[in-house]
Amino acid sequence: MFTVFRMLLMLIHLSCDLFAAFYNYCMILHRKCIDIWYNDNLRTETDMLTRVAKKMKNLPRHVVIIFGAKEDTICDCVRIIGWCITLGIPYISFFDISGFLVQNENLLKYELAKRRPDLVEHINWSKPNAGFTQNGITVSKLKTRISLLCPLDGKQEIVSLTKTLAEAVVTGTIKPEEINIDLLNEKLNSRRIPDPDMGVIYGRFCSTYGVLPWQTRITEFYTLPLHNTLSAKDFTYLLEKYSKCEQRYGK
Amino acid sequence: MSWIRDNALNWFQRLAIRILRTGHIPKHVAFIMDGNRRYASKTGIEKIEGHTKGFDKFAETLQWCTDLGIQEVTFYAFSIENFKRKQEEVNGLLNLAEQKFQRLLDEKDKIRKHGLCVRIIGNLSLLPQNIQELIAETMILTKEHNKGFLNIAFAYTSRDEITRAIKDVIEGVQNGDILSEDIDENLIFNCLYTNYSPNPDLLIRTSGEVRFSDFLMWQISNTCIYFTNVLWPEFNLWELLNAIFYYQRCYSDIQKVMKLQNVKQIMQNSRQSTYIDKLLHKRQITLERIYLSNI
Repeated sequence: MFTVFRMLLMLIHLSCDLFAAFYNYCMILHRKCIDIWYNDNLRTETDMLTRVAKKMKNLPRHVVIIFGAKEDTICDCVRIIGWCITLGIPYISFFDISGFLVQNENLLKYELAKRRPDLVEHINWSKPNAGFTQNGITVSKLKTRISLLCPLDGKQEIVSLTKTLAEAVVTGTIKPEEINIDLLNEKLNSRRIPDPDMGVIYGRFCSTYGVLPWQTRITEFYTLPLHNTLSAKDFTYLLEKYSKCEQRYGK
Repeated sequence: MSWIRDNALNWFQRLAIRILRTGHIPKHVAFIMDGNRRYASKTGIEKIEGHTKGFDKFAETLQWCTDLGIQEVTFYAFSIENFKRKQEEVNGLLNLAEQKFQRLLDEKDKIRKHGLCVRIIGNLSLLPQNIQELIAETMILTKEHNKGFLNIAFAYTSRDEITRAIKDVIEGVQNGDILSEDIDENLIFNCLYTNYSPNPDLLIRTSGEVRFSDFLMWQISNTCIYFTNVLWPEFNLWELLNAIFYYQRCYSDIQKVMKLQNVKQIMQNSRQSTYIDKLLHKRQITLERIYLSNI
């Protein structure tokens, strides 16, 4: 009996896989047609984004993009950065599980300068753990801060903070009873970046992949299909969903 | 309603379960039971009535999980943030909890028969004394059971849990039980409330919300997430089966990610393991003290 059931389950899985593959193929085709029809270019993309941004009352302040599977993420990053700057989203973080982006930071900067030289002056690359200092220069437009994250920025950050605090307790600079959620929150936020409001998961399955466990407790997570290239439309669709959601903060 | 329910599935549901069971079944499933109040206002019943319906659904889900062969389940019942709700509702919820924990103790023979180990994770000191006593008694009574594990997050948030773990670690360093260099991810993990449990394989959140509301943030770094739009009292077996089917479809990718994240049992040095034993012993004593204060 077990074998029969097992075969049945495998059959169901197979038909689901086939259906999903067929559906994805149709979606890709559909997109190609739309692209040709509308002759999608940067100009219309920017127009659409500005239109959407005006319409929405609630834009996220900090978006974190989570790459759970693919390696070649540079092009997607460049495009997302472009959209966020157009929309006026002040903080973007990119996280990937293999640490690819952190290792290839220079490549990303180079690609960005090559493809979208107009954006460079709007970007502030944030260095992990380097306190944010306001320099006296007045900038006409606020810069978007971009952070690149790897798994080490999550739990490892908490581990190092624990070590620092343990030493501080032993030397007597801090009392054990002074350690509470607020203190930890302040120390873990040395970059002075607000906690992410919106997380976009770009992976084969829905998971946080270990992105910032402390900071993402009330982040709204959305998933994007992996099979087709990310378009500005997909992104605005998620933003629309985000702007409709309502946080209750436990109440 | 009872904690342990009788099996009330029809032949078709039983067949579906048997088929699904031939594939990979998650060992540990976590639930965020959201939507009781929305269900109440949708169906025009009192809020607290909605929460009661939510409890019934929880008992039902527990039975389905047993049928499916899921060894461990964790339910998010009450968050520390929920204390911010109106006093009337908080009191109602706490009364409901008291009733249900009392009921669980009344059913201890049934629980023993099923070998169900019940653990309540959360900051117990925030709860009224009588609930603390009931919780302590439940945990002590079912401690040795090992056929199924039920964790209930009550007065819980992940930040509170992590903060407490960090404080425990630092206390260990201060007392000279461990050295600063012994502090690592694994040590902090072992100081969490959930130190007895493997990380969840699957997390299900109902009611269409797509956030974690400070639930098991440390533990879900490679958990498969399933968000569903149904309100918790409307959750049904097919939703659960669908979630597990989704888990099965993702299974090979999850394994790949875990390999990439380098998830493995890290060897502990003797200082670490001695300290963890000491800490768990201390927590057990605290629990026994709460229990004995009742007698």
